[in-house]
Amino acid sequence: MHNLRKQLTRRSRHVLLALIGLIVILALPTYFWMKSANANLAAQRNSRMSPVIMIPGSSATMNRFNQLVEILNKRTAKKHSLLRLEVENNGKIKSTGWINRGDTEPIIVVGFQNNHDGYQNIKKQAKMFNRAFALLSDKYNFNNFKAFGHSNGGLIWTLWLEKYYHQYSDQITITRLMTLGTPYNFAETSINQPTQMFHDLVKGRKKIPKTLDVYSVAGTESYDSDGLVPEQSVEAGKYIYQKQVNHYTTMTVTGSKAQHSGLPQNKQIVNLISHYLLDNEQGPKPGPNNPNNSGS
Amino acid sequence: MQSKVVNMLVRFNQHSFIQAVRQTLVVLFPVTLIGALAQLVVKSCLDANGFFYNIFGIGSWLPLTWLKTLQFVFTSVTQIFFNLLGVLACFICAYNTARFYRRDAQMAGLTGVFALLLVAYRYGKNPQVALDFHMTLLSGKSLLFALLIGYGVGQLYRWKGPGELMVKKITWLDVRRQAFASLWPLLITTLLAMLVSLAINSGRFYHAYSHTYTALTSASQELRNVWLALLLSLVLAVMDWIGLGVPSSYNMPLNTPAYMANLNYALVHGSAWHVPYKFLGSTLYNSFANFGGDGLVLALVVAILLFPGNTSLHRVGRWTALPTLFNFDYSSLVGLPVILNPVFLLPFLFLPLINIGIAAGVTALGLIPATPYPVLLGTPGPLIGFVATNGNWATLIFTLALLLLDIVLYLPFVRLNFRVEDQLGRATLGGEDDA
Repeated sequence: MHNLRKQLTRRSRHVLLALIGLIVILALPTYFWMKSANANLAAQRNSRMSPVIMIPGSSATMNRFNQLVEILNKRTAKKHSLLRLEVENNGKIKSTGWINRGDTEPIIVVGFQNNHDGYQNIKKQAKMFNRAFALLSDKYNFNNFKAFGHSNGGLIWTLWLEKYYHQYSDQITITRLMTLGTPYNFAETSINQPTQMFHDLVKGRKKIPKTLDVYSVAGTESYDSDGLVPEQSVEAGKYIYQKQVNHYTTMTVTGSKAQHSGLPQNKQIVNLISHYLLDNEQGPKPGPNNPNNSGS
Repeated sequence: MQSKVVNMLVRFNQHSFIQAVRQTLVVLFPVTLIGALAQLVVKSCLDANGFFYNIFGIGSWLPLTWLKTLQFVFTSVTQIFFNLLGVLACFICAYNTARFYRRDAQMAGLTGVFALLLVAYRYGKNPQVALDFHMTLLSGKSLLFALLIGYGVGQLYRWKGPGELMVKKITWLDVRRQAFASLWPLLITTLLAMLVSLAINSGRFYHAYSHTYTALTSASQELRNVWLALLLSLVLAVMDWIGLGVPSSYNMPLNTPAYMANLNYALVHGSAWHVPYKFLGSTLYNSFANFGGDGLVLALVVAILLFPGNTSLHRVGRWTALPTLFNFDYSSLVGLPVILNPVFLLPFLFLPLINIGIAAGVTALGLIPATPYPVLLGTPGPLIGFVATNGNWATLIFTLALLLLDIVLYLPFVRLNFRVEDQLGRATLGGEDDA
């Protein structure tokens, strides 16, 4: 009996030793994890990069905004480098272009191999975009960014904000979003005929960050449409963003190249982008549309 | 003097409720051990914030579909164990209480579960909707209530229930008679449970009750004042001790504004020394009073394993050592047991406070920095301070010294527990021959 007890306590000693051994063995990988994780966190926290991420509309590729960026770079002193990604259907991500060293405001365009229209495809594209975003956030360590979406690209942004953004919101802030001719209610001319997508987007709006500034720009060729998207469908965005985000501003651009697919090359729109979406070099912008004046 | 204390403790333990509770906890121990191990896998290996998940980079080599599947497999185990632990506890407690008075235990257990389910029944908008429960009442978080209901039902059987079947060969007739004789206690239980359920459903008790623990936890996280944090951690420890704690409350410090301010400061300046909130309750607690979860259970387990003596406690200690090392301590709380065990009440409540006090003092003296860096879920207790300071060696040494102190301070209570257990072991449990 006594012997048995002794043996059992010895077994307890062995367990104790095993515990100590386990801690010592685990301490090493823990140390390396800690150092690299904290270094990454610090790099992100101290990063000065604030990219503009752009999503083109349906049927367009990652090259959709080449001309826009060209015009933009001609007109601003600060040159923006252009990185283009394409997410393939199998999840692989192809990239072209690069981000210049020291460029704090590069432009990153994310296109999709599956660039078809329709709610089901937009859902898939939001998911594919999330892959690309995860890659970007890993690689470039930015802690804030600006978003731009043309046409259905704006829908992908909205869906992404509602469904995926929370995965990053602790570390990465989206400061501004500009959507251009985005049909929040597809081709419907009245919100009395809400599409399934519009219904879902309104339902999920509470997930959209409250600090965001949103600019919804519509183009009109006739008095109520840009030739493809009805103005009312663009306007329907207010039922998603208004009373949820910090500011929701709508603008309408008319004149030459105000036709739906001409919009991204429209000089007026390039002006709006450089004025409202980009960080201005001369410091805070005056006026009610400036996020820095709102205390957010 | 000491034998007086021992006698008092023995008498406390011989109260029929405490006896029923302890027997129940012993029976539940294997279940909670498996639950704790599954939880270790879920939270530590399969969670993006988990310890093993990160240090072994599991996310980078395990395909996402596999990860999801494994999460389902293991979560099913933890969910059932912890969210329905009350049901199991209630059955066993009613069973044991009835057997204690030599009543029909099986029917009593059945009645107990039925009563608990009735009490937890949630009224819907109209009576036709699907079955719905106040889940908190069925979970391990309400262990005390489940035990009380089980005990109450057992007592009812003592008064009204059929006696134990003592015949060697049981016939159909016996079984049927037994079942019918249980009608009265079953009926009484049903009526009482319906009344309680009515009260719970018509008042706001449930909402208040089910949110208390979580609210206290998050309040204690945000406090920048050490004293209030100490007080709150005391309240939480009391709740753990009486069996109203959350067995799955193994959370990291929340991203409160103060925590973020500290972390941001540390990241910008590359140092943890001069953060704005040096004495943040959550990070102090997590780094220095969390060896093996609430109440420094790791220190208790080590103290037991170091102590020569009672072998059954050693056996429990050896089994729970692994999950407890990674701060999944619920199986220790149940197995040793700590829950409703007066011997461990004092150290369980006050050792964490002593730890926080010393840590705050040493921080104030400038010997160790603050602990603002993120810590993974399931990081072994002794390493937490080290990780939270981004590898400050003084902190590691201090943490180990603190752990040693806790073990030493737990030792006298372990000795006392062995003496109490010894005396209890000699007395047979009511109604049964083996302990």
